[in-house]
Amino acid sequence: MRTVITISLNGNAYQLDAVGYEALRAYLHVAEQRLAGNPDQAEILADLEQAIADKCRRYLGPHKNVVSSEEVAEVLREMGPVDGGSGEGSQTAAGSMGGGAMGTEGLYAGAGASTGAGQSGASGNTGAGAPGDAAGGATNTSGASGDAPRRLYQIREGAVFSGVCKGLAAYLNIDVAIIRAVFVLLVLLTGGVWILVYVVMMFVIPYAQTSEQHAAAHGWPFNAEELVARAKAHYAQFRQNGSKWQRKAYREQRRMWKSQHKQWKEHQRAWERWGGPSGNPPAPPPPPPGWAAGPSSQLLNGVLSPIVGVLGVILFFTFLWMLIAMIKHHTLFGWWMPHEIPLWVGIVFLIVLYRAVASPLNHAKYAAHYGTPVGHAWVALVGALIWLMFVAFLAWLAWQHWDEVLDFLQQVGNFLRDVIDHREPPPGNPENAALYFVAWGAPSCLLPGYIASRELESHGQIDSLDVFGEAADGDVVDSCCGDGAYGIERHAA
Amino acid sequence: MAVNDKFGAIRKGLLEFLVLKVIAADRVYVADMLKKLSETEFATQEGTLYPLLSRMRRDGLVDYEWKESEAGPPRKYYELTASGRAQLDELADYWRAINKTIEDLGPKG
Repeated sequence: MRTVITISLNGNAYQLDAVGYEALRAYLHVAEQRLAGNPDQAEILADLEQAIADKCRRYLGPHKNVVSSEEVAEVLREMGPVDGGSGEGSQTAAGSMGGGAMGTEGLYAGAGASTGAGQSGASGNTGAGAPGDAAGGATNTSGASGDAPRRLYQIREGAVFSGVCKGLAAYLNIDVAIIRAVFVLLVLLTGGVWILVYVVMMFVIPYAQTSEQHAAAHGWPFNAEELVARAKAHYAQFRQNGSKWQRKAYREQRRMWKSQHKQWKEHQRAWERWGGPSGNPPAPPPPPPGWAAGPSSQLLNGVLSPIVGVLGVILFFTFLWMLIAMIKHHTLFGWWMPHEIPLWVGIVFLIVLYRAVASPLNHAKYAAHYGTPVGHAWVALVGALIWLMFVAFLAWLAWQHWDEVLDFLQQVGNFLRDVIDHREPPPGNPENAALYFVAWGAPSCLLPGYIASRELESHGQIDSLDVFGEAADGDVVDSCCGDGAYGIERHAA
Repeated sequence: MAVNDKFGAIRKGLLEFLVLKVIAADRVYVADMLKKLSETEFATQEGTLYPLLSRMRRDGLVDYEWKESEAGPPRKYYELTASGRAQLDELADYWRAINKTIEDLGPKG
């Protein structure tokens, strides 16, 4: 059995099998490319289609209405390579004629090779016996990947903020981790000015929205075959990586279901024993036990989760506010800090304090998440919404007090310059080098780069944003995250 | 290298001349031309002929008109224009000159 695809050749319907269709499409695609720039491109293509249709009709009869892939291959072999070079004056010099002929032949060999690949050994007569088949095929592929234009886009999928780094990584063909590390380093070295560069890039570089733009961002050639091939590769990789844990998870799930089913059956039997003889109509069976927790604790989890989320957000912004106060006024909890204590010690202290307070809260929140069996996504959504509301509020606040924010930005810059100017470690002194490292590490926590290192799990809120993105998996959500992150960034700055 | 390959570029260059000759002999459509040429050393294919005819028409050497055929869709029948005929004469003269040169050079065989 073969899939049949109906096509229209110059206004007439023909049925080809799937392999033949791919071969024909590849042929016409190459023809179209070769004739690009020819003023009569459309007319020539129509003529070619008509010629192909005439040839196909030869193979059709009252009891045969599908053109097989072998027959399509034969038709295309008869058609021969489309000569796109005749427009450049083939009657001039013999040398240029030779060049034109070679180019055409190489291209045809390429088309032949792709046809052969499409046939996947279904028939042996596709190769067309063109000389230099392999060489032509190679030229064709390398040409395709080399010619695909590469453009700079922001790539939102898997981005930390806006996707500038991801886009740059795709554009420069460098691992995104390296680009991000360079960006964080640049932020530190420029005393925060690089954040502004990032923001400018964020506004200037367009987002890759269509699949075509995504392909252009990576410099992939964009056509149907490439897309299918890439999807297949991704799927194969996914299966390879995913199958192991998938199977494991499935087994565990099945074991759980089985035990639940057993328990439920026992309950039902007990119910029947109790209610059956008295002739009562069979009552609805009790809810299957063992669904993670009883309904009361489910309810508790449902209520607890948003509360913990709110607490976490409040805690984070208290921490942020204290950081700002410390850098701006050199105060801690409203008191002046003794001047002997350097600023970075205070910042490290604050971070340690924050983590100490926040980590039990985060654990509580995760417990609440996973305690509710049905509403993971729902709970995450509520948490994310709370978070977004806070971010929006803070963005508004920052907007209202823009001058102060600018002032603070300057102070952060000054602080970082101080760090850079005065804390050069004397070589060969490990203790000082360690202090220097801490001093470098602390300001990096201040800056958006810190949020990039969410693997640290110090901010459950951001994780919940992530869950939100995965749960809804929409561009709108992503853009929310981007805007939200921008808000944080501006406030942190 | 076979003789056939050595003259590959020349055959390609001569194709326009040959097509002019075929069209001059009779009003033909592409399948006719291919059939006539297929019996010669200048056998060619649609993929080559259609772009060539399109360029020749742009150069004003040939023109076509649609004609109904008894079987299938209407076909393009090609004919030479005045400048196509002039071009054919020129090319024919030039070809004769080349032939003479080849004959005159080297040992007579």
